[in-house]
Amino acid sequence: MKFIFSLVLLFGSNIFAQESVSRAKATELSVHRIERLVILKKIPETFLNHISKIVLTKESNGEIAFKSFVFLENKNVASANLEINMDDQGKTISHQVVSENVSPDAYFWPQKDSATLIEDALHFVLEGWVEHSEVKIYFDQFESIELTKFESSSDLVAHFIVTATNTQKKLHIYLKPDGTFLSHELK
Amino acid sequence: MKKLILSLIFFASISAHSEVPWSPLPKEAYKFGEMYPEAQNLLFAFDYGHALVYEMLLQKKDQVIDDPEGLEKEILQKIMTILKNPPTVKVDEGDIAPNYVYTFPLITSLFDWSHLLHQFVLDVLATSKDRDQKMIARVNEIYSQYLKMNPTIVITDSCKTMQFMDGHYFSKAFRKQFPSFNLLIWSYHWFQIKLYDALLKPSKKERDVAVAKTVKDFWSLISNLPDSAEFDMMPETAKEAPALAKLFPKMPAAFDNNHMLHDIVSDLLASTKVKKQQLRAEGIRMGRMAQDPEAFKSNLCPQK
Repeated sequence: MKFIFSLVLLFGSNIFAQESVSRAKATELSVHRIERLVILKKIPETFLNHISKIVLTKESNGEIAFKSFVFLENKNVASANLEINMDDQGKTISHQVVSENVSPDAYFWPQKDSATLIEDALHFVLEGWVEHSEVKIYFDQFESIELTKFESSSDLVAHFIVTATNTQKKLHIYLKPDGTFLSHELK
Repeated sequence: MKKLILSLIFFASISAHSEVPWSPLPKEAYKFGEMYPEAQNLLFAFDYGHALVYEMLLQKKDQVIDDPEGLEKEILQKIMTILKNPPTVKVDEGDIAPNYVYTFPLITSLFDWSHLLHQFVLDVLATSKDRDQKMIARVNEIYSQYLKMNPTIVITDSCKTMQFMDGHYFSKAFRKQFPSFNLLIWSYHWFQIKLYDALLKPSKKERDVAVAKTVKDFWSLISNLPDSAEFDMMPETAKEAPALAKLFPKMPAAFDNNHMLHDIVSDLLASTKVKKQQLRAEGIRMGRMAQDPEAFKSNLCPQK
């Protein structure tokens, strides 16, 4: 009997420890790392305030399981400003600032910074697929998330476009500037 | 006359101890500390430290903090001194942080009550000879007592998303102003969680080794803050203590909700968006949210 309990404990631990995080979760964890790096003044604050897009790739490069490419608001620059390498649990192994260039007129969100808004939108992907099965593919096959703003009846709205591999359709998520969820649609 | 004296003694004892009573105490109560005094004293030290920090932040509330880094160093120094010279008994928060206890009456009761659960689960795990059905049944019995004895001050065991901690207008203020101290708190949460899994090792010898290693790892985590503690987020129980989560699936959420509520109090106190006169009301609102199984309910537990 004791032996059986020991096995339960042993295998229980291993199951939890070895399962890889989803692509969407890895992206969210990379946002948390950005926040930590900014708070500890290891990268500039612009990486909290002016993120416009994050692209995640799955890797098979030894310990590196995911790469998160972070883009700042800048119409003239097409390459990522920051790269984050993560293991299969989404733990950061290393990061590299490629460039800090951001548009001089980059937008400051009034209530929450862009990183936190992206985090809020990712929470919809992480949780929302349970109630909205059409969102599941963006949880499993997450590829990128892009933040833009628009005004609806003079209300400011944070608009996110989420892409996934294996589908042409894009997931659109709409949040209030304080991060409150408004709606989502696929198109 | 005798009745009057007895009544006075009774009311005096109530006013002297704000802690919610668990009666009768489990027979295993505080045995963990007899077996693992170093770990137990760290737990006492952090109860002390948490209250002390809250009291200090409350004193500074609505004042302009010119040198947050200096204040953080000052707080860290005080807490490190306590950690290195920990109390050997549980300290009454009302004695060291009277303003905090007055300002957050509901949350203080929620913490007191769930800290007793934390403690008694450790006590049962430490004193159980075998990791068997008897131990599981006893932990579940303690958990059932926790739910039924004082239902009005129970933190829900419904799984909440991290938005419960991070989704408010005042969120993240503490970690932004006091990053090292925040990482010290997360390291402590990690320490608490890890102790459960250490105590679920099959043999006494393995448990002793695992508890000693957890203590050692904790000191290592806080040895050179902020860099020594590599947490990007608050450690989650199901992830850090998978054996506990497997055997007692409701407990991780109960513990995480407690930990998130601690961070919420820190943010309320640190945020310039929350004024001192709002603290009581916001504290009650947040406390109620911690109790509400539907508030910030997660569809996934744990998140993957």
